[in-house]
Amino acid sequence: MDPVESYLRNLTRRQFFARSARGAGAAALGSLLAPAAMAGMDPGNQGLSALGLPHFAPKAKRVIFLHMCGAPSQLDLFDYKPNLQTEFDKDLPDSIRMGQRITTMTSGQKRLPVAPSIFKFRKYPNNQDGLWVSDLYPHTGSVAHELCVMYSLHTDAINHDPGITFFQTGNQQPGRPCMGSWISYGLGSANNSLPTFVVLISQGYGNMQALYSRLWGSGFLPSEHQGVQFRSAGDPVLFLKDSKGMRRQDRRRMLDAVATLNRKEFGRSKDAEILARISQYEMAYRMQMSVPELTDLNDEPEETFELYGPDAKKPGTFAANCLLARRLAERGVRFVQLYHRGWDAHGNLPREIREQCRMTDRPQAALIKDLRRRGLLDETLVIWGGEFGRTVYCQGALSKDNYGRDHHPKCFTMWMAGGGVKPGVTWGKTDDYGYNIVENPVSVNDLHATMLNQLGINHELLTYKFQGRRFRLTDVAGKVLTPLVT
Amino acid sequence: MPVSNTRVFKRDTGDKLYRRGMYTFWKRSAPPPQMANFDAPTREYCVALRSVTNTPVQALTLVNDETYLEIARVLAARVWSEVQGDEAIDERLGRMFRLATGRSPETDELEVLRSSYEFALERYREAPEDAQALLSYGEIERDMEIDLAEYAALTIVANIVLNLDETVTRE
Repeated sequence: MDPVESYLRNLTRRQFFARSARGAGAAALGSLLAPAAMAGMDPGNQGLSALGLPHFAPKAKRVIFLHMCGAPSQLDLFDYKPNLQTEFDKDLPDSIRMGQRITTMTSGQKRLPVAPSIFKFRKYPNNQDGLWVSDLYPHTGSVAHELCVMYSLHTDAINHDPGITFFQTGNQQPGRPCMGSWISYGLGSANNSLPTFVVLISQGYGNMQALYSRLWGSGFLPSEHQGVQFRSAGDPVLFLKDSKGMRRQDRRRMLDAVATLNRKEFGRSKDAEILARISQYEMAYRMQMSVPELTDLNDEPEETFELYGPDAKKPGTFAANCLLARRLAERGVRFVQLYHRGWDAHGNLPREIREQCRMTDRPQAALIKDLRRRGLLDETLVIWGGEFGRTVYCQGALSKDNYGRDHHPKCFTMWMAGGGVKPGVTWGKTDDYGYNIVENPVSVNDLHATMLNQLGINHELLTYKFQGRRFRLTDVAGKVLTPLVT
Repeated sequence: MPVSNTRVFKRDTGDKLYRRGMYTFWKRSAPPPQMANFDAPTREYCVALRSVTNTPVQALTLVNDETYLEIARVLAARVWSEVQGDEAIDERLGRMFRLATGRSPETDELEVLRSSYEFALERYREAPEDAQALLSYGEIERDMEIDLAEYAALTIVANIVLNLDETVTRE
C-alpha cells in the first residue's frame, strides 16, 4: 500500500476512536460544526473545542480585561483610609513594614513618610454597606452596584515587566502563554471572521512603562492563539488592506488560484498543514471585510458618544478602545485585552492621576452600562486592575499637595463585573496603612482560576504538555473564589 | 526611569533596503512584524524548537505587505526579460513557478496560472491606472519597456506563485 495512504488511514482511525470516547453525540455535533474535520484534518479553531471544553456550563462567554499599566494607586482610588489623615509625614512604623523589601528607587531615602491621599472619597450604594470610591472616579462609583471590588490582591513581582508577565501568564518569567491564548486554545473562537483574541492599547498621560508583544504571545501554545493587536492608526490590523490597483474581486480570484494549487499539493503530499493554510487565507479574506466593519463607528448613535465621552471618536484613546471592546464582545470575540498606560506615578501623583482618571473613568463605566443595557454583561466578564499597588509612604519629596508612590506588591485593589460574578460586593481587607492584607488574600492565580471558572473551565484541567510536564495558566496554584461567584 | 532612545525608527532608502533579513534592526519590545508573524522567537528566552504555525495575519503579510508586492513586481519583470518572445507566456509562467517552487508546473497547474494571467491581462488593459498603482510599490525602478497590462498581469501571477504553500513552506 502507498505509505501516504496507509498513514492517512491510521490517522483517521485514531481520530475516530478519540472522538467516540466523548460519545457518539459529541461526534455528531462535531461533524455539524466542523465538516472539514470529518472530511480530513481540521485546521484551526472551530467553535466547540476539540478538547471537550467547557468542562461545565459557563456563566461567561468572553472576557474584557482592562489592564492599567504602571499600577494605579489603590489608596487614591478605592482603598479608603481616612485614619491616615492624621499620619501625614509621620514615619511608616516598622511594625507595619516588617522588613518588606523596597525598591532601589526608594531605598536611598532617609525616611518613609506616610502620604495620605489628598482626594476625598464618597460612598456609593451597592449590595452591601456601600462602596467607597474617590472623587477621581465618580462615573465608576455610579456603577458600584455592578462591581465586585477586591482589596486584597497580592503579587510577588515588584517591577512592571515581571508584574504584567505574571498577570498575563501566571509566572513572572516569560515564555508561557497569556490568558487570552489559554482561553483561545481551550474554548476556540465564537466568530469565524474575527480573531479570537484582540489587544487594544491606549497611551496615558503619566509616566509610561514599556509593553511587549510577548504579553499577548502564545508562549508554547500554537501561535494561532496569539493576540492580534489592533492599531490605532492606519489599518487596524497590519497589512489588512489590499494593494492599490487591486479590487476585492481581484483578490478573491487570486486566493482562489492559490487555493486550487494548494489543494493539488495536498492531493500529493497529504500534509494537513496545507489545509490549515488554506483556511487561514480564507480567514484573512473575511477579516478584510469584518475588521473595517467593526471599526467603522458610523452605525453608532450619537448617544453612544455621550455615554463614553467625546474621546470615543478618537481612535487609540481608552474611550475608543472601550467602545471597540463592546463591539468586539457583540461579535463574539472571546478575549479582549485593553492596556491603558501611564499609571506609574512615582512622582507628581496628584497631577498624573487626575489626568489618568479623566481618561478612564467615564469610558469604563460606560462600558459596564452599555454591556448591561444590551444584555451582554451577564455573559461578559470585565476585569480591571494594574500589575501591583502603590505604597502608602511617599517617594520623593512630600508636601501637602504633592507626593509620589513607589511599587507595592503586598496589597492592591482590582474589580470584576459581569460574567456571573456577584455584583455590588467587596472582598478582602487591608490594614490601617493599606500596607498588609488582613483578610481574604487573593493571589493572581486565584484570579485566573476564578476567571476560567466563569468561562466553564476547571483551571486544573486545562493543560498543555511541554518540556515533559503539563502546564496550565494557574501552574501549581490558584483557588476559585467561590464566595464571589454566583 | 530611563527611557529607550531607539524609539524613532527611520526607514532606509535605496540599496540599503535590499539587505538580508539578518540585518533587520531588532527591538525586543517591538519586534519586526514580518518576522514575529512567522514565529520568530522573541529572543528573551531560549527556544529549542520553533513552533510552526498558520495564522491569518501571516496570510495578510504575504499577500499585502509592501515588501512582497515589490518582490512580486520584480519577479514579474525578471521572467519577462529572461524569457523573450511575444508568445512566450507559458514559458514565462513556467519559469516563474520553477523559480518559486523548484519544480516545473504540471499541465493543470500551468492552466490555473494561465487563466489567472489572461483574466488579469484583460482587466488591466481596461484599467491602466490600476496597473500603474499595482506596480508602484517599492523603490526599484519600474521597467518601462514592459507593456503595462502584461507587467501587471504577470505581477498578479507572481503574487499567486509567491503565496503557494509549496513556495512558503520548507519540508
